[in-house]
This record gives sequence, structure tokens and C-alpha cells, in this order.
Amino acid sequence: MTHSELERWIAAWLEGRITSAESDALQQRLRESPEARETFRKFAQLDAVIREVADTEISRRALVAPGSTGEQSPSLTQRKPVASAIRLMSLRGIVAVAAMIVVALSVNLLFQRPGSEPHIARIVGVSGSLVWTGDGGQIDRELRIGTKLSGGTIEGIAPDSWFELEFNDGSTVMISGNAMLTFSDAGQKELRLKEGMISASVVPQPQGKPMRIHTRSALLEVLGTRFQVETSLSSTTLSVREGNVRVVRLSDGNTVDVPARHRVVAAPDRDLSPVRTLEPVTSWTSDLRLGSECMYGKWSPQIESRAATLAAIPFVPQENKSVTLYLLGLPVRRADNSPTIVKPSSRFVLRGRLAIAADIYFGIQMAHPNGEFAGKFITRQPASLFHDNSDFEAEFRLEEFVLDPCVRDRKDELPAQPDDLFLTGLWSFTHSGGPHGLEITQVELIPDALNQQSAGAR
Amino acid sequence: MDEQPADNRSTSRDDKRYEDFMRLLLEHESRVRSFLRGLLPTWQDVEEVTQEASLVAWRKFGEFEAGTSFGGWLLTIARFEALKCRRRAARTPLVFADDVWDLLVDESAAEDVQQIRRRHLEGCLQKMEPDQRSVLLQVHAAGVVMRDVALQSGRSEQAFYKVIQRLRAMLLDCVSKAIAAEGTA
Repeated sequence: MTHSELERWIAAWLEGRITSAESDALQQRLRESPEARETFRKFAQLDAVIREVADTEISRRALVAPGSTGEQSPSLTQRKPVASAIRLMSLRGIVAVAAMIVVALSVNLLFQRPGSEPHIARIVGVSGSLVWTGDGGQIDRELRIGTKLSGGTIEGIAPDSWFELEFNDGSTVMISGNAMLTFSDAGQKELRLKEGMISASVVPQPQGKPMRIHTRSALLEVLGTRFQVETSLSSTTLSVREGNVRVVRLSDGNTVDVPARHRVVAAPDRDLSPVRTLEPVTSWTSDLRLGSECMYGKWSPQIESRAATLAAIPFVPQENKSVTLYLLGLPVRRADNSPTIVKPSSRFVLRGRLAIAADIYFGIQMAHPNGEFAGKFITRQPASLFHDNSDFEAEFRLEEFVLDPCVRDRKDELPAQPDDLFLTGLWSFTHSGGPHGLEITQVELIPDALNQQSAGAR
Repeated sequence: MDEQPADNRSTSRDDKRYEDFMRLLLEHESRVRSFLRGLLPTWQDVEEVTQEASLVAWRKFGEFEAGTSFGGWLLTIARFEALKCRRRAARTPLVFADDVWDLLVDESAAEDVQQIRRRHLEGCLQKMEPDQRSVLLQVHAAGVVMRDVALQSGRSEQAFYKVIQRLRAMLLDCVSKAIAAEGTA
């Protein structure tokens, strides 16, 4: 059970409130994917069946004495004859008005049912290794879609970890990579992001009770919007896609409202003025000299004779405890915070060293332009290309990447290829047979190699 | 001899023919509505086209070959009537492009698949929590505009839609599990 983009578009179409952009996107999915068409048909049939049951039941209620509401609907195979249905049509207008009133009451009851819905949120997407610690101290390492949570702390413990939470009011929060988020909702949503990145889509919050996100360096107040936050020990970067978010810098109490398509960095040594989000760029080069913030692995600083390195460390995936990966990972970000987009002809170059030749796996995490998770993709270069105790330079072309197995259960709703998506993080590992001493010194994203060559030739 | 007058015999034959038609129509009407719901953007369109297709089917019932699939024949008529309706409709985001329309029409689920899903949908609806079921039924009732209900609920529209969508997803999840369980039984 997922609350995917596709399902949202289908629902919007069935309810007659789809926008042109959503309709275009829905139609594109329907064109491309037989599975999407099957999902569409299921929802259309669902709509038709519920409507028939609803009409039958409401009409029956209208015909029986007031107060006799406990009847179950007859099977549709035993439904009223068409002629009777036609006679009942005239009742529908009257019944609809009553239904409108009843449904408004029922919806409020559904939202407010005391005691029967103690959980404040449920998991709508999960992959990679995560740990949830509940309010009562209980620990759960095997999180599943649909699990209801009553607050607590969720921690992504690997670069490929990903988790999406939906509050009861429909607001969603997604963490990705190494991140730690504590959340609660006792009438007002309170989130504490200790480290890492979250993106959120927040429905309008009750008057005077904005969602509050605490980081070490800032307090964010959200009334209803879409945004992304990344925090480290000393700074918090907020990028707002829609709506408006208020930021309070904790070091001096200064406050700023950040509008849509703007970002701000809350740090003691930075100007707190929002700046417009920059256009995406197609190239990126890591700079390990700058430190290990938000990285996964063992970082070593630059010294005279050698560059800064990030070495893989052992990692046991929760979904397969019989293997040990030697894993490293790092976020993709630029000093000016412009997003990095990958093009179909892009390629990655990974530079580093291996103690023992082994297959090198290389993964990338992608986001849609609106910040929503767009999948994880992975590829591999075989051990035969590498040598023991040697530096290597491995190239990974975008066309070689496939959807990571850990998100294949969501393949219907994720793009099949990472083309034209935003790069948010990457990781690399060796697999089985003990440590291979994988360490890297640089990762480079090179755009449109062919175009560049032809441009150079001109 | 108890011979009936010719006009009485004719009336009797017409009644029998009408009864046969109505029995078949009743049996297949739900499938037609489901089929049309996956093509036409509003329930008003679905109801109009269902009605029009039923009338056309009645007029052409003499051409229907007994023993062949009435459901398939009715769906063919419904498909043409839906196409006429689509041609009349203004170009809005709700109207699918030709190629998408054709794909949806060509791949409409086989009758047995529809029937199985339908049976489990009814079962799963009965199993829902009473207040969840009540909300779901009421927002789908004829004449109820979901946007109006969302506004009346005192919640944000987006929150309301998400609740409804979650209930629908629960229902489909229940259907998938029921079908899988049936398959393994």
C-alpha cells in the first residue's frame, strides 16, 4: 500500500481536480507503463464499486424508517432491479444533501476518534537500513510500509537509507542518507533534526500551531509548504519550493521569512538573507579536503604527500545479514547550493585505491526537481579492471545504471533511469570476501561528454 | 383450441424479449459502468453514456446473437458511445489524449478478472472499520462533491483528500491480499 504520486494523480483525475501539469504527467505514465494502466483501472473500478454500494445503501436508508441505520449493504450481485434504481434516482438529490452533512461529521469523527488512533503517523516509504526508537524506548529495525508510529526517533544508518513518513493530516516528511529525526504530534508537530537531510510537504497546519523543526542552529516554523532542510553541526540550509517558512537563527535570535524558490543558510558567520535558488548545473566534483560532514566512511585529511581520502567501512545490511559490505558515501552539494542535474550522456569518474582487486559498486540517489525522492540507481565495474594495491580511475556511464534492488518494489512509481533528475548523494562499496581496502579521493560528474567533445572539435 | 389472438402473441413475445434484455443488462451494467469510469472524467458522463448505450443496445437487441457474449457486445456499444461523448467534450486536463484513450480501451480487464476484483472489493468494504467505511461510501455517493465535503469537514482540502486516498489504498491492499490468499488456497 503506497501513497504514490501516480495514485495521487489518478485520484485527482477521478475527482475532477487534476491540473494540466498533473494530467500530462499522468498520461505520460499511462502511455509508458502497463502497470500504471492496471493501477488506473483498479482505482476506476474501485470508484465505480464504492459508488454503487453507496448509492444502494443510501437509497435503502432513505426508504426505511429513520433510525434504522445498522443495515449492511446487499451484495451487488443481488442489487435492486434497474427499474427500482431509476425510481430511486429522484431520491438521490435529497439524499445527497443529507449525505453531505453526515459525511462532514463522519470525517471529523475519523480525524478525532479518541483513543482509537493513538498513532500520529505511518510509514509510506522505506528502504535501506533504518532504526526507529519509539517514545517508550522500543527499537524497531525492520520497518515496513504501513507501520503506524506514535512518535520517536528515526535514524538512517547508511548512505542509501531512505524513509518517508506521513502524518495523520497528510503532511509527509522524508529523510535520506545518514540522518536522525525525532518527531511528535501532540496537537502541534515538533521535529528535531539532529543531522542529515529531510524534505517535507506540509499541509496547512492549525491556526497558531505551525510545524516546528528544531536543528542545532535554527528553528523553522512551517504553516504549510514544501521544502528541504539539511543540517550539520554548525549550520542549517533551508530550500523552500512552495509557500513560506520562517527561520529563527538560534545564535542571535534573528528571524527571516523564506519564500518559495529561495534558500537561506542559518549559520553564525553567514548572512541570513534569503537568496533565490540557483539554476541546476550539470557538473560536480567532490572536495574531500573540506571535511567529513555528512559522509559515511573513515575520512582522512590531506597531508603533504597524499590527498584527503574516504575509506569504506564494514556495513551489514538489515535486509541481508549474511553479507558484509565495505561501504562509503557522501552527499552531493555545491558551495552555492545550486542543484546538480544528470543528463543522459553524463558519466561519473571515481578515483581512489584498492588494496585487493574487487568489483566496485557505485550508487546514486536522485530527487525530482520538486525535491521528492526519485530513486536510487546502481552499477558496477568488474574486479578484472582493477589491480591489487593500485590506484584506480573507474568510469560509470549513466546509461549503465539500473534501479537499485532495494527500491524495486516501488518501480512503478519511480523513473526507470536517472536521466534529468537531481543528484543528491552517492555511495560505493565492495562486496563479499572480506575488506578490499576501498578508499576514494575524488568523484566527478562529467556532463554531456559527447557534446563537449564535439563542441571542442568545433 | 386455446389459440391466442395474433396481437396478444406479439405482446407476449415483446414482453419476453424485454425481460431477456433487462436480465442481461442487469447482469452486465456494473461492468459497463466500471469500464466507462476508467475513460470518462465525470460521473455525469458515465451515467449519460451508460444510459445511451443501454438504449442503443435495446434498439439493436434484435441483432444480438443469442449464445454470444452480451457483456462484450454491450461494451462495444458503450465504447462507441463513450467516444462520441469524448468528441463532444471540451479539451480539458480531464480528457485523455487519443493514444492514452486507445490503450485504456484496448486493455480493459477481462470479465473474470473484473468479477473477482469486484467480489473482493465488496467483501473488503464490509470488513472496514464502520466509520472509515461510512466516510468512504458517503463521499462516493451520487450528488456529493468531494471538494465541498472537504471544505465542510473543517480540514484542509489536501488533508481530506489524503485521508480518502489512504482509505482507498487500504481497500485495494485488502483486495490484493484476498486475491493472493484465494490463489494460494
